[in-house]
Amino acid sequence: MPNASRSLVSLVFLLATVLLLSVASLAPLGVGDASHRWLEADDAAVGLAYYHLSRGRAAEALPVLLSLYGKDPYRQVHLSHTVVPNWPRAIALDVRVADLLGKALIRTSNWHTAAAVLSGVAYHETGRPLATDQPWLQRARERLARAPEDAPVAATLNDRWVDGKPGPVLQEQCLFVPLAQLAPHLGFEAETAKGQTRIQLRRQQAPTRLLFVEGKKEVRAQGAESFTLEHAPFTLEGVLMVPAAEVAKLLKGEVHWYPEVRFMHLIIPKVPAKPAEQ
Amino acid sequence: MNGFSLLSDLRSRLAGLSRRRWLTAVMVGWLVLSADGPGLWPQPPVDPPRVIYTRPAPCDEKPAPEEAQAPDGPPPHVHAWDDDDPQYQGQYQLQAGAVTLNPDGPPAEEGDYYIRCGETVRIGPGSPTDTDHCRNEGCPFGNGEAVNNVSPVDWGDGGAQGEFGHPEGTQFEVGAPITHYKAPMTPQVVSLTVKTDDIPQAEEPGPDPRVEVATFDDPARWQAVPTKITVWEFTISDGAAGFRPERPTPPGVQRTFTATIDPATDHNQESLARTLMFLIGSSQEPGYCLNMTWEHDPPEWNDTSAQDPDLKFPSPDPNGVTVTSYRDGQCRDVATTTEPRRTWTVPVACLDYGAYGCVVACAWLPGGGGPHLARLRLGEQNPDGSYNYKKDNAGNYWELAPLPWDENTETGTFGENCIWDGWAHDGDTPGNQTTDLENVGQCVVSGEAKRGDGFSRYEEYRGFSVNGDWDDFDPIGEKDVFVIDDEAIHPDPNDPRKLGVGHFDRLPGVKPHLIETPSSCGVEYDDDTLLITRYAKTASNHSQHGIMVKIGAEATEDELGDTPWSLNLPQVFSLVDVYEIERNWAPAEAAAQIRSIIAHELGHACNLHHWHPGDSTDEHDPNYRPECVMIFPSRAGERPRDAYCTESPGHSHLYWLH
Repeated sequence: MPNASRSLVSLVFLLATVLLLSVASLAPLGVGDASHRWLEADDAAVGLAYYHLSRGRAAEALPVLLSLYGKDPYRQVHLSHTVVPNWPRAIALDVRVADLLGKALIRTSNWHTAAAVLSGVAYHETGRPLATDQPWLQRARERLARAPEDAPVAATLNDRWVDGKPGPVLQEQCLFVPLAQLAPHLGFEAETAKGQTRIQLRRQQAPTRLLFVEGKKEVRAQGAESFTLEHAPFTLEGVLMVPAAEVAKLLKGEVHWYPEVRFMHLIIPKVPAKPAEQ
Repeated sequence: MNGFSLLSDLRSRLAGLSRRRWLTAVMVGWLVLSADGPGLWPQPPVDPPRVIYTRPAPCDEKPAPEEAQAPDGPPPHVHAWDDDDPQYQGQYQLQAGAVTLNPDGPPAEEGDYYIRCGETVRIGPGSPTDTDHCRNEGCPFGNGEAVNNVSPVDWGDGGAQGEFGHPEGTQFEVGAPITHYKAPMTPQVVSLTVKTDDIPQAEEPGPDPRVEVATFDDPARWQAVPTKITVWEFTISDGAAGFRPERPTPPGVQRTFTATIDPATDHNQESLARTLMFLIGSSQEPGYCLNMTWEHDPPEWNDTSAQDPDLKFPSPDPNGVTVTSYRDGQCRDVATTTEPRRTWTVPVACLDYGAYGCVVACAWLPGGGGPHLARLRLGEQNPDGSYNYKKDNAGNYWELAPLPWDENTETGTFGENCIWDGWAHDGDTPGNQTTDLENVGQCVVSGEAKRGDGFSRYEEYRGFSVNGDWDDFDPIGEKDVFVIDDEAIHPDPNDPRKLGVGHFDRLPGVKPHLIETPSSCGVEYDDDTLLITRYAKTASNHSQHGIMVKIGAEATEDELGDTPWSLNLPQVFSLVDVYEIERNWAPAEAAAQIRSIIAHELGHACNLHHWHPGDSTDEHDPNYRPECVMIFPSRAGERPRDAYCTESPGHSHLYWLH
């Protein structure tokens, strides 16, 4: 490739980097970012992230991949010389954002988050959570054995890592997750007309309505019997947090807890959501 | 034995006998000649019965009355031949013959007097005559003149060392009957002469049965004024002796070829210089070796596109010739001298390491049948002016100059396998130019042994450019594999490094050729497909690709490399997660592990799997850790391997390349 062309390509990648780093720093992370449309520049961003990752610069790839995970974690991106810097024309790869993000997280020693992302990948591919005999998981256990009690925890719902601000928290041996962010992925519409202290979930299949209220263990249900939680919801940074395992049980789901890496995988059947009333 | 020689033989046997004994001998001779079966005398043609008493006496002797006179009628006429009487001024002497060409055809034309060395021409003695005169009155011959037959008895070419003889099937047989002259192998003007002699007999006019009487026996005579012919030769020199086609730098290697007409002047003292035309018959391989070309826009004369022949007359036109193209484009394959020349030399540029072809020189020489093609001469002209020629096993001249030498060993003809005869592997194994014989480590795939490396014998002879240096390969030794190190070719500005081939060179029977210079990108291999045989044509069995190695992050964690597909496909690449290796191994071991992983991935590219010998048949068995770079998976922290396992059959013998 002529030098001029290579310089031009490098400039494009540089602009893409600046743009995406800016986006990453502003946009909320996690499950709720599906409204963002995938753009051509996102392909270049994945290419740039792959380039950083393959060059041992996982920390530089991470923010880009975090941003793109929120858009479409399982999007297949075709990597070629048009999107990867300094890349030969003969090599073409198909990669997914979630795979690259998991790798970047491991290489930056974000073990619990890596487990969350890669368990989501495993569920996406096999319908099962992360196998516990992964060699990297063994390494993670060794590292996290010395982790402090207040080390971060992670959660995955079906094939999505549950992220956001605040993230999941562990209190009294119970993992709490932000309810409003989970709801869309369980087929619920979340009504927060009265703020995060009182959230009503609605969908067509039973239970058709669930009402969670801050400080109250009782969950009022429609289409099913009301349910009493062992741990009452609470608000953290203005977001209603609910006990993950108990909600999963309420919705007839499974809970997989990986204590060594402080990660919980919730597998809850998803049903179509009822459109929200205007 | 024909009639002439029979009579000549008979005459010599009778010479010196007395009249009585002569007559007796004739009588006995005729009896013997008339008898059946072999006898003292050769068997003559069957003639009607003859009356013996009518045999004539020699003219210079008076017959004895009791012998010559018939029982009844007048006494026979007694001849007295006087050829030498001065009053007749030689009128009755034998008129000598003269060598004529093509005597049975139309009158010889000027062109018939030009004969090529070693070729034959029909000859005849001309129309020599001999009339004898009888001075005695009453001679039954009109005016006393008896006409004798005349026959050639000897031929000469002035010591030119030509040969007189006759065709015998497709061969030339020296000796009687003399119907042809075979020109000598030394070009020169030759003086042909013939010696003729009369047959001193004539049939005497009179009532039947006629009798033949002896006439004057003239002395034999040589042709006084020779018949001059020009024995010419047209040769072309061997401009390719010891030459292996190559093309180091533009405008290509030049060989010279000299065409020569001999002798300088003909039998009319006129020059034999002619307009000489040189023609090149050339291969037309794309590029100048398997993976390199030289092309420009607009095209230049020494380009090596698919439309360019590999052998051309250089530009600008060489001295004394005008170069044209027989075909469209810049073929530059015809060179014509700008004026008549007896000898001229032209250069020929070789533009391809696998060029094969020939140079033909032609000219229109006297004698018709043109254009005449020059015969290939070997070495210098001999002291006697002759040449040494190249002929095939059937004796046919090579009427071309090979470039390079490529002789069919079975027939001796030009053109065998497009490979220079002097190449080390031209004929050291059976097969032809398409054979792909490397047989080390071949694997049986679908019931067929995957021999060879995907490059034919001719292709390995034509050679490849690796990092700017051309080389030919060994077609029967190790299998050649191209590895393209993209890290070296496109060094990362932030962390330039090279990958190389690691321990891949420890795969038995494989010789990796590492392309690692930036200028090689898209030049020595196709940038899109990694095709190596990008300029193949002759003896191309298969499109062979290189394997690209590149630093890359494998999508699956815990694997340190990735090779999605393998050879016999385009775009075969191996990714090696170098940074992850360096992150997980101590610096002292990381380099060894990188070499091991490269060997592992390149093994995959050569169709090796994670198969291993031993009890376990599960290639994914995590508990089996063979001493082989093809171990699965290459775990972080695992001790690096440095070889391919050799236990039968082992990875060492399972790879295949095309």
